[in-house]
Amino acid sequence: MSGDDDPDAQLLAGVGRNDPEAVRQLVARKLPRLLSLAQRLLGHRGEAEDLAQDAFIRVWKQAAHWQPGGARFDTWLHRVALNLCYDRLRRRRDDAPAPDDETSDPIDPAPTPERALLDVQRGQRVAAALAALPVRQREAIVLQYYQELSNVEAAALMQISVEALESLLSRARRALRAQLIGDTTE
Amino acid sequence: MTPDRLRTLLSTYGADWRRWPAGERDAARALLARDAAAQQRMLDHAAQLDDWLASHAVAAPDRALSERIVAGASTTLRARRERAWWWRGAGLAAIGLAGSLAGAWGVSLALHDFGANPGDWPLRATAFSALPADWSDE
Repeated sequence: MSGDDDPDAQLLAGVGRNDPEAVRQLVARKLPRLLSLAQRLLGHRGEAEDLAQDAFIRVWKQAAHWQPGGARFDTWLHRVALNLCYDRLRRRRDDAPAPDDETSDPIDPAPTPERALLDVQRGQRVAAALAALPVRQREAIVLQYYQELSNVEAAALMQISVEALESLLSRARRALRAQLIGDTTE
Repeated sequence: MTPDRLRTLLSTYGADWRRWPAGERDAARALLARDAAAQQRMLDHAAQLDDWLASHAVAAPDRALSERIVAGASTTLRARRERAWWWRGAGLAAIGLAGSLAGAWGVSLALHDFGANPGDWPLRATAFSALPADWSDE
């Protein structure tokens, strides 16, 4: 994907000049998505925050050398984050899903406490179901559904074909449906 | 677009057409519109899982994390700038040293040529070169 019209190019140039305002804007623009990606893949808020900091250190190191016209910055940042996630997942000694401590985090205001509680419970179940997926299926659903990347972008990041991505997505959704709804049909 | 492919789209990408591959959206939506009743069950089925997935929210980053990351930027960028200056200074020093070495080498070569053949004539000749060393001609 070409970075000729990269919406982040101007901010990166500012970061490369050590402009504090550009740094703040880039963090505000990228951190939420980066954190979402890491937390959903790792299933752990603390680890996701550490990973976000590591990823931004790489951003600061690269900002002055960023060449417009290559890959888009957002794609590059996803690639960096995914590699950091792979490293952390590899380091885990067993395949047991990590505990998800996101339940202690505030969630968006809901109309009623009952509704908020229901949302939290549903969110917990989805987090557990995501954590139980094989890593590549989890990665596919996080990139396509939660990060809202196109199928071409997600496949490129995962270094697989679109057909292989569709296979992973289909299996992931089938497994999630079985876990969450108790339905094995699709 | 075939009903089979539409079913695959729904089971792969979910019920929201904005998540479908861009090149297939129009055809898939047209097929849905032509026979909405027949496709509605599939659509509802996919939407049910979408609703579940949407309930998994990730809390926004807190201010402390943002501040730590911003603080890391100034540290990293300053260190990078200092390294750049160091390398620039080291480069200039290396150029200077290389020049000195090249000069010394050139001088040594010149001196080496000068002394290579002591009897060369006329390079080392003086007004007295032709005279015998014991002044016997005098």
